[in-house]
Amino acid sequence: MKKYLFTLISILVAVPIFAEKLPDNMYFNAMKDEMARTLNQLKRPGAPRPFYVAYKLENVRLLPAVSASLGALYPAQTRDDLLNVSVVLDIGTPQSDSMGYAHDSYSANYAYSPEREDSVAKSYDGIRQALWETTDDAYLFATEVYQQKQAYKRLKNIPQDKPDFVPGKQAQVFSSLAPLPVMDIPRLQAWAQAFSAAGNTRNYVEQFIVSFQPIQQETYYLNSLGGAYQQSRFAIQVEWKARLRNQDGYKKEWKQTLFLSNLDAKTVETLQQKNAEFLQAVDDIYHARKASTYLGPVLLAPGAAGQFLQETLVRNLQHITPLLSARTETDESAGKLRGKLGLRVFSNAANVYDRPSVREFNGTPLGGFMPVDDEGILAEDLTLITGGKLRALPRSSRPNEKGAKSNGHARLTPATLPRERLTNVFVEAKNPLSQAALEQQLRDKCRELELEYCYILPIYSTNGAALTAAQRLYTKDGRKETVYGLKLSDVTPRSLRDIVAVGDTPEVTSVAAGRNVYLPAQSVVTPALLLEELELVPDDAKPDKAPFVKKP
Amino acid sequence: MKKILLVCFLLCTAFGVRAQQNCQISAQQPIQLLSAELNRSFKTLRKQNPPVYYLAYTYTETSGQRLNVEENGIRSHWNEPERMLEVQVRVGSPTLDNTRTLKNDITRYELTTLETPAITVNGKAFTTAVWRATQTAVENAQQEYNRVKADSQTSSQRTDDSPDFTVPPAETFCREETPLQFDLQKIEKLLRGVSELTRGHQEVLSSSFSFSYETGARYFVDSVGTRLKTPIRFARLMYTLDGKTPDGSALTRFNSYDVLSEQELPTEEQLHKDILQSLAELKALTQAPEAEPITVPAILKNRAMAVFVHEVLGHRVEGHRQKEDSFGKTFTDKIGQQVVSPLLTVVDDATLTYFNGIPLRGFYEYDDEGVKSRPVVIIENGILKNFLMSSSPVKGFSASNGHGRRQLGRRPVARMGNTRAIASKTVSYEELEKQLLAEIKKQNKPYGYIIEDLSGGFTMTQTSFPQTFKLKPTLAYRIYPDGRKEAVRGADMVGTPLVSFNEILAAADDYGVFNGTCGAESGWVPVSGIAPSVLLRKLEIEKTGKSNVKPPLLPPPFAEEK
Repeated sequence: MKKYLFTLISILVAVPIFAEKLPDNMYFNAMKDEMARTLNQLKRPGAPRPFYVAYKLENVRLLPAVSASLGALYPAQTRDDLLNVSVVLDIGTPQSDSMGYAHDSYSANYAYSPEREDSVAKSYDGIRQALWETTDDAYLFATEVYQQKQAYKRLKNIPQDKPDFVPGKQAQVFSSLAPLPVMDIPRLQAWAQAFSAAGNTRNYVEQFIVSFQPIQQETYYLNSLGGAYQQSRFAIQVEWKARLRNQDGYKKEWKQTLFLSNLDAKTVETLQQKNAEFLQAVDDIYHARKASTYLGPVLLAPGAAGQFLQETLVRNLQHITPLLSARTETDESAGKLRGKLGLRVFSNAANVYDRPSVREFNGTPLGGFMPVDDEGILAEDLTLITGGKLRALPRSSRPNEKGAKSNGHARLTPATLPRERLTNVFVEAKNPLSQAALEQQLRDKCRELELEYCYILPIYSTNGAALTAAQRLYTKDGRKETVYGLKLSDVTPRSLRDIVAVGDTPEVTSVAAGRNVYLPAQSVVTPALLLEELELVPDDAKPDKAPFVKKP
Repeated sequence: MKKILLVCFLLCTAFGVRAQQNCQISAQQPIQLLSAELNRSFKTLRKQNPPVYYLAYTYTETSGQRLNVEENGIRSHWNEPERMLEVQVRVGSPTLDNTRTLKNDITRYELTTLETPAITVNGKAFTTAVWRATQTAVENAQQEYNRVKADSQTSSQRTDDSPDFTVPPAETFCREETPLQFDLQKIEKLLRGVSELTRGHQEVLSSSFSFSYETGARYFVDSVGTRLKTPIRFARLMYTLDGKTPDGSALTRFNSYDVLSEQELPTEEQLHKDILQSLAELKALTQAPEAEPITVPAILKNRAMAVFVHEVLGHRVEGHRQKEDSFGKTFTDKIGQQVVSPLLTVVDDATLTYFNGIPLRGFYEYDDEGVKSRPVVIIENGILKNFLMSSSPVKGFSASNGHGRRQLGRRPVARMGNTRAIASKTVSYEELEKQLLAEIKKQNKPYGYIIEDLSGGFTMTQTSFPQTFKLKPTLAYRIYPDGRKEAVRGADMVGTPLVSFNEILAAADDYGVFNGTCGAESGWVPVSGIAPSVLLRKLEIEKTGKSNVKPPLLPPPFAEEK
């Protein structure tokens, strides 16, 4: 209670409480100085002063991209222009503040986002200038929203006894920033040329690109309660992309992405294996047959399982505290599972965890690694689901009906405030099965349902897009055949309860963070998942005619 | 005699370029590979239904850098080598092809564009990319042609039923230039240094100092037999200072320096002097009164006049605007008639590389349809003589005069290059100001205007809008009958072309250059304008729109810490 009171008093006096020793670099110096000016001097006549400010800087450094198609290099471009500034500013009091409400107007004039879209000059003065400008925009927006939110609360008789904002104990974590690694560009070029040249062995391949993009992303965070962190992440994004026209004349594009933590002795073997797998997939896509409607059990390969979980679980376990809105009354972005704590939402075949503390998995960097969240709270590892029941939710400092304690999962997105989001989601099987055992179980189910074949999905698709490829597994003899022209139908969080078996070889699937940020923000680490039932329906694509002129 | 004077003027002040003896077009590897693939494809494509009757490849190899500095820090630094291929395909016949404008869709100007990998010894990856881009381009063109055919069956008779294309003559040309080279470290130091000049200036809400250059070669190959290689060279240093008045008027001061070598860059002293001048102007504008709507005599200073000619006259003499019924066709039927003050002759001459020591951005040797550039007299002593033509013919003008231009990825239409306004009679600028004061008194006006600088503007040429123009001065002064000058903010110039160009009473002998980038249907293209200062009998001024968002509450930190 004393701590809570202390925090409240600290907030109300609105004086920045900085850690005793912030790192002495231009990023923290600029944030500290501009934050002090904001809290001491920023005041609009007739409006409350800011009582809470948070700044976040993300410096993305792209080393030269190396890329080649069919054995020939593309020119290497370098772009040093990605220092992004985010500002969160709250006015009023923690009891009744300006955040957590969607602005009444649809007008683009009011589309303030805490994330500044363009780049910022990399100097102490340039950063301060950007912070000043973005802070002023944020204060203007907060002033308008504050008035609207108060009016809405009065209109809807929303009780004023619960606080809007209850920040927990602030943390300071400063990782040392590794110097930008020196990349062996000639070696990457040689690999890109050699791997992409494999496309020349297939006459139907029109483009076969292999590219390497080394990225270092440095993050600096400071808020007026003393929460602060500094960290850097490094990854090499490797991408394969092929374009072809399959034997029936349909244009197809196949893409795979891999993130590497670094280049070591094993890298070339990993890349060779991935290249061979990619080429095999391209072959299969070329020879694939057109498929028809299917309803029955489906085995999701780890990559597809990761995307399936992202769509059905991760997206529905975010934005736990809905935004108030006079415009729509309902926050459509709020996760659909947020009210199901203690209820059965998942299969009993696996447990699910969220682990922001894990930096990488089997050499693959994880997107959700973060020691401290975007409200300055230490990010806790969570046991999300055991026994099929939802045991925990990601929480921020915005209280909801379930309580007021943050578990360090407030993450800044291009919205109006840091909101609850998962980080690195791990799915762990209770009885892990090998790939062979999973396929056998799939065939057994097919036999039971008198189906000629079942499906294995190597990839997943969302928003009604067609799957580039799916694999039939024949019940009778276990033969596999690649097909195309299917899309998923009616997949909902309900499908999570249809998981009947889980594999033993987890892989990482990562999700992009949003504009101007190159490294992923979330990862799902999951093995293959066998689902009792999914519906696959044909897409409406029509074939193209053969090329007018033969490929040279 | 006047014609002789004009030619003499051109020769005395401008410089052109010639092809090189040692640049063999047939020895260029991109030309060899593109020609071979074009010949291989075209044999088959011309037999398709509908047939391809014209095919052209443009391949550009460029390198360059863009550096932007603010508050003594690098905001962005891009190093951008590029290899881009564009495919122009015409399906049908020259009489009716896939490029004809549809009655309900006038926005189809995209070209198939592809980034290509390097040309290796056997060129296989490159040739495969060319083949793939050709296939895509032909598929798109055939679909477009079918839409055009259906559209033409349901459309009313066009006023100008000229064919869609005049096949250009075959040309061969090869010229190389030493690639542009700049010491970026030195330039970065210069920009960082001058960015410090804005420190302590509360009127500057934001500032930007940048340098960019692009250098390389363009290769052009078509099914007529044209084979071209021409150099690409642009470099520019520029700065922008932005401010805002308490009532929401946005203010800008801008300056740019187009160069073709490091030696042509402004010296540090010159740059300091210019920035300090711009800072003083911005401060004056911050405190300046807001303009009131009025019609008064005015001087357009030389660069402002160059923009005026470009926007108000130039766009209206572009060939395709005489053809499409969606355009107002201000000058279409006025060939041989006096359309502007007899004082003026206007020539568009893309062959000029420099004027008075300033490189011209509108220079090119061949246009984007492979047609050789040449000087085109648009207006002679006030009489309309010609239109700027691409390979899309219009009534009375069946062939291109080398003005088919576009940005990367867009289809060419008729565009300006270096547009020069030449006055047959001039006085000194001082004399022009005296004449302005006399005109103010004669018309019994409270003041006149001097338009020092324009940021650009727009002119509406489509029939669905009023046929007017609006130009946005960034620096303008009221001049009172006693000669006193006062900076004014928020003044826009408005009017109609036929009236405005006949209001020119006199011109000065102070020709100035405007280098810019012009946007239209075929994208952004580099252009130049050359003009003297002129006195207008009357100019209509209206208020500029302004934001209702106040400037930030706190002063910029960069301004606070001097």
